[in-house]
Amino acid sequence: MRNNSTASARTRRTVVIADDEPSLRILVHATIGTDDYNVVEACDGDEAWSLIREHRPSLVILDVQMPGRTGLDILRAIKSDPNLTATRVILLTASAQEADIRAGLVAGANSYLTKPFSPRDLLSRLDEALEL
Amino acid sequence: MLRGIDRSDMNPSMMNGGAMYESFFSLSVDMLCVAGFDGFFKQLNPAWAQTLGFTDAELMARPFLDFVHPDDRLATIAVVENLAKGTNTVNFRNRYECRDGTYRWLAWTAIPAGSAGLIYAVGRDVTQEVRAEAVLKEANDSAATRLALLTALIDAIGVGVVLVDREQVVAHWNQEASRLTGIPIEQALGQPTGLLGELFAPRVEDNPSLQSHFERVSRLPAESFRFAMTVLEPRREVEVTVSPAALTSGGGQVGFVMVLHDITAAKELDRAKDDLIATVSHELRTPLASLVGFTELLLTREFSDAQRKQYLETMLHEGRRLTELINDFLDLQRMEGGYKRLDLGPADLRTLIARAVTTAGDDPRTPIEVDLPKDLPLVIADTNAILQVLISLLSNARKYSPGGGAIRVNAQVTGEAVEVSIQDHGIGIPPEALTKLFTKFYRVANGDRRLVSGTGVGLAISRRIIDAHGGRIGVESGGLGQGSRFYFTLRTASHGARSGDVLIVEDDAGFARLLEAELAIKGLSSVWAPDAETADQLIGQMAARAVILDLLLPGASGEDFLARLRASVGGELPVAVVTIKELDATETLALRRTAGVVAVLKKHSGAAKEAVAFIAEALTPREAHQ
Repeated sequence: MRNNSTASARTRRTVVIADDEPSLRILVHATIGTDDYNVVEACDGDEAWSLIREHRPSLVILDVQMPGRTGLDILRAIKSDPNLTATRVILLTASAQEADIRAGLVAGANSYLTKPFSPRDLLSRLDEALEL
Repeated sequence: MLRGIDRSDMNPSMMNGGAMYESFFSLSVDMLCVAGFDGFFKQLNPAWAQTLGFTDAELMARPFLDFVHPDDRLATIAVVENLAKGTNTVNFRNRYECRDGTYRWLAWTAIPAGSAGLIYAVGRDVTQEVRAEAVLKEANDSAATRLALLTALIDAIGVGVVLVDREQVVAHWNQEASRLTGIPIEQALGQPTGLLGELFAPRVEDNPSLQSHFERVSRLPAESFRFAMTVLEPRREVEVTVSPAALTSGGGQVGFVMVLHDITAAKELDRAKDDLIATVSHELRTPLASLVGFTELLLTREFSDAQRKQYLETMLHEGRRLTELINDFLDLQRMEGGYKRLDLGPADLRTLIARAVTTAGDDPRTPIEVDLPKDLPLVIADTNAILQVLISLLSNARKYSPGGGAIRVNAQVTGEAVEVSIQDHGIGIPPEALTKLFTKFYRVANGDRRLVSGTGVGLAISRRIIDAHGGRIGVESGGLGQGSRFYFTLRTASHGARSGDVLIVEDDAGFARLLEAELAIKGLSSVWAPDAETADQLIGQMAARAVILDLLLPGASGEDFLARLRASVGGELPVAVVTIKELDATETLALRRTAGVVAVLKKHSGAAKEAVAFIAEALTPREAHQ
């Protein structure tokens, strides 16, 4: 479980949140909090990709349907970038289509959540992905 | 056994063969007779009594024609006359009466014995044969009729039909089958089924299972099956249903039928529906995610007041967005079959634009500047629908101008149309999005634009409305950051649309239509103005002879219009006031005393008829009253 006492500015992990919906970014940000993580927000796929390359985050929370590069595009780019082998990915999708979910898992996502989701679920997926 | 005949009448040769002749005569199962040209039987064999049931005496007591069916008598007389002239008769048929009142068909072979004035005749009962022939003929006729009907059905039915006969050859290929496959009838008829696959191959999209389907077809399929193929030119989806044809009497298979069905439109509809459902569920899930997520967070964790406020505000915003989405979705559904019940009539754009600007409200950051030419002609429009379009375009212009900037509304006459344009200085539209903008649920893929709430339905509805008016709607933008210019066109009102006997000034389209109908019954034509401003313009152009006026109108009131009317034409023009407005006695009296006003009526179901009666009365020439 997350432990506030071990978190310090030096060891804080970076999480990139990429979603074109501002309300969703606020929600995810509020859910994971800023005590344990250094949170960076991106409002479309292209911005997300440049921030990921810049920050080499521990975790990316990716909306699948985004303008510019889609969540799947970015996921594949992460998986084929040798600098990002440690980066974990959680997909957020507004589509309940099984095919979309399968495509995400096949492409190497660590986990996925369908909107609407429970913030508690997001936290447990995050802990799993980061092996906390 | 020669009866009833004087032997002296017989000729010698007959007399010579006496006994043998007599035996044959009485033994024959055929009906043998000797008759005279005088019309009476002279001699009959026993077959007569057996067939007809009459005794010889009865048969010989009356002219034989009496026993012949009335309908056959003329033909019988003709035969007898021919026999009298020496002509033999072979296989002549007529009906003879039986004792029980029925008739039997007899077939005759007869020869005349000229010198003796006698006829020797052999008749045979052919009733059964005639009946069988009739049944057969009827069957043939009905088979031919059924075939003709079925062929007409096959050719007229809106599906492709191919009939393959027992010899495995294409026996029928209807017009629709040709249209769907591009294979001409001449080319298809007579083709063995083994070659059908080759016939289709160049015209359909290759598909591994197609070959096996045609192989199955070539082996005279005994069970029905169905497959689909894609025809290339022009591209369409065709569903083929193969059904064996067997005789109902269990006589085995006589061929099979292939029915070709164009399922292109159905497939497209399916796809569009799937897309729409996917889009709608996607669009609904996003605001729901905020509502559910923040609610859970607020219930389970502590937040600062500022944070709590931000989250609650976001929830409120997303909740409203959800409502807006559902409303827009319902609007769009209503609009799917075209904008229903468009009430078209001449309309003054200036007042419509003014009303839309009023609805949009003041915002000093994005002031709306209206600049219209002085002599803007009337257009043909449904004022409520066009108002909706204007409000939607103005609200978009505001929404997508987060940095502020004036919004300009212009209009210009181009030929037979007026183009209205709304120009903003907002965030603009990337070129690749310009063409997709009027598609439902399309929202520009750009972070900035996404900050703006909206459902992407407003423009789709606007396009439907303008399309239904026969106008064009479009957008231009220099790109992101360059602002946008939305425009639409409406036809100007032609002279015909601006002329009539009576001007109806009424914002309720339904009541205006009722008045139009009542006036038409009285032989009066009319023009409908949905507001006083349109009426002001029309009155100067149309040389109306009377006015039916509502008082509660969206812009200037009916009273204002009446005052202007009095100032310009005095009391010349009869006016009937029909209004829902509650008028007290003083107001009613004042209206009644206004020059030209012939009636003041409360709007109710019979009011249209009443008002029109007053107008018709006022328009009747004086002489008619005398």
